[in-house]
Amino acid sequence: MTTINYQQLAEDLDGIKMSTLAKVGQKDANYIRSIVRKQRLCEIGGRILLMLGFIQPLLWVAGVLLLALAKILDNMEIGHNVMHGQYDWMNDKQLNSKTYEWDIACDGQSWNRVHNFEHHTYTNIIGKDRDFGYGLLRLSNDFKWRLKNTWQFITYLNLSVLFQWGVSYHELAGERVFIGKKKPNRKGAVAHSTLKKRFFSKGARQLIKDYVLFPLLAGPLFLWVLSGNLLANLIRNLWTSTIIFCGHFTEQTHTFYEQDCENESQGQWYYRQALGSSNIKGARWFHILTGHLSFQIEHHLFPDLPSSRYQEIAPQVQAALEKQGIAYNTGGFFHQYTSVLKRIFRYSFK
Amino acid sequence: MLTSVLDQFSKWFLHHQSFAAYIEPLIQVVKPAWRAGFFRAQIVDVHALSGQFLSVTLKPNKQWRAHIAGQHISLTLELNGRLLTRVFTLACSPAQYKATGLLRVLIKTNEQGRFTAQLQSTLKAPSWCNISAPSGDFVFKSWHKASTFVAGGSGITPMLAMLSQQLANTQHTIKLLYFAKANEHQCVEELATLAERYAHFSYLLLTRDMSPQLTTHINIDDNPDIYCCGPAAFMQKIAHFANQHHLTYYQEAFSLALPSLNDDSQFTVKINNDHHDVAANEVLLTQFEAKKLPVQRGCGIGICHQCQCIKKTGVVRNLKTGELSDNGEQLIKLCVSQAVSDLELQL
Repeated sequence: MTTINYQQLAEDLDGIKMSTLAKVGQKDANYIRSIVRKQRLCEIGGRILLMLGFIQPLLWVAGVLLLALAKILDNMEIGHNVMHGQYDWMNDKQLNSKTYEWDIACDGQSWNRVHNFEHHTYTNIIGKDRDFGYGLLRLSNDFKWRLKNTWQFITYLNLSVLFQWGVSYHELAGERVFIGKKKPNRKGAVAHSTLKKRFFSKGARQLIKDYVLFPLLAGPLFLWVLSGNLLANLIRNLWTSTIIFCGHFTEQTHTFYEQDCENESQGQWYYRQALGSSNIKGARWFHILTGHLSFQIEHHLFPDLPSSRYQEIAPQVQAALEKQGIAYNTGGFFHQYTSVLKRIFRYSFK
Repeated sequence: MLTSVLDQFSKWFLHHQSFAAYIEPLIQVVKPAWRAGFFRAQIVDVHALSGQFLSVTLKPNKQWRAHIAGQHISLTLELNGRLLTRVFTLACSPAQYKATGLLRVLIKTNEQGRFTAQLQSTLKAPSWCNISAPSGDFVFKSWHKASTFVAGGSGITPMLAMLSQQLANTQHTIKLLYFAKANEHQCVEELATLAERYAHFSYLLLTRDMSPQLTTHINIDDNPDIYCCGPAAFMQKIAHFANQHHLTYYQEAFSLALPSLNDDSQFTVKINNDHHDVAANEVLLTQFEAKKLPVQRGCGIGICHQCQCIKKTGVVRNLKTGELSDNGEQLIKLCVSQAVSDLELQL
């Protein structure tokens, strides 16, 4: 095995970042605005079509798909990336990480703090990155086997179906806020009462919107709209959950220990980010629908680089990693997803 | 009524501050640069003047309410994908605006400037930009007595607006002392026309070489009100003179340099869990920029809100007003804020 030159790795990756950031400009602004525009058209079109199902049920089906697409674009390519601050340089009030809010039960600003800090700083470090298995699934031998792990595949399916609520609870660190579990030396940046308030306020508004307000506005078509919204939310939940699991829980992704990140150099940090993530190959439209989380490696190396540039830098990143003999985990969607399912199964048992 | 219902609906359910903000990307397809919370204006004409000045003519949309002569607007442009905002005084009177529907600003370009350096190449008619409602209180108040306007460089712009608006409304003497570099006096023909039409108006085009004493031409026997706009040191001298002779003095606050900060104290600022040392003798924005913190510079003089952030705890002094903040959570503008205690901020 070749030894890794971390210094060189850091220089190469920093170089990619700087030269790409220098190019960011009008093209990237136009790109994200065009995605927002498509999102609006899908959302408005979808909600209208849901009410036309009585003319022809296929219109209702199209409405469900459009609304699901709108929610996926909003959550993935727009919301996730904007809240990472990737488009803050535009100075656009509507595309700003400090103010953006997404169409999902999880409160954006609570997510922003927990996700960016805990998950992106301590990616796949056992005991630090709460996103590793979400406290529900056993995905490596670093965790002691418990009886509940036997049926963790069912748990996984439930999580996928209710993913937006799982994320919402998880990102405010529900087990701390609601149940009072404490970790030593971890100070909450935000008061628990604030987090709780935001959790309920955002969650309630999402429920009212999709299951009360819009169905009521449809009058006699109440049930058409209600069921359409339910289905659109379900499609979004399954899609986001699947993509996100492919990003960190394929069989190839590594885990790390707390001591790994003590006095970590930039090169070592890059190394950990690269090995803790995996990519999915696909067409351009596929990448957009995943919010470019199909470039999870690039995203973890450069979380604040505009997603509009991930496709372009991927070959450069791959070359820089391979130069040091570091694996670049990628594969087609079915390959990666099968790998995730295998991992969930494998660690169900001792 | 409908708008406020839609806005509340958007806030609760569409996760946008207003309905306009939600549909903004769609409206922009038909109306470029249409933005929630901004007025839209078309750039009708851009031409270069002497001394690196640009004259820009704008046609605002109908909702824009006319200004008072002497007021300024903030102008927002999309430059390479970035929305940049700067403040400029309107160099036209409200009457001119009402007659033609057009506004004019004179912009002194600066090769080093992040904003103005790009203007000459990027400002093209016909394209679109955003402007704010007019604001500012540097307006004419001396209808019943003599007044003297003292302008330095681009400080002529509010004067032009005031003169064309107010000369018809007063019989008292108005004198303009206009300092600029040789051959860089702007809108000289306009001044000549005004002087021809109004006997009570006179002007002098001066350079610093011709008249090293800025105040030589101010006639204190008339006891005039002084209106001054120009570089900070320039205004300081005129203000001092007016003060000495008990003359009423007005100046354009926006080009006001902040008072010098003679305070050697050091404080700690906690930003998103990191600690930074800051000095009290410089505004926070400049120090944060030097530390490469993610701050946004806008006008740099406390007008445009671009650099605004949340102060969680601690006391800052607003250098424009001299006011001390509370100790609790509030929005502060970094470009005019001086640390007076340890702070905790959220950027």
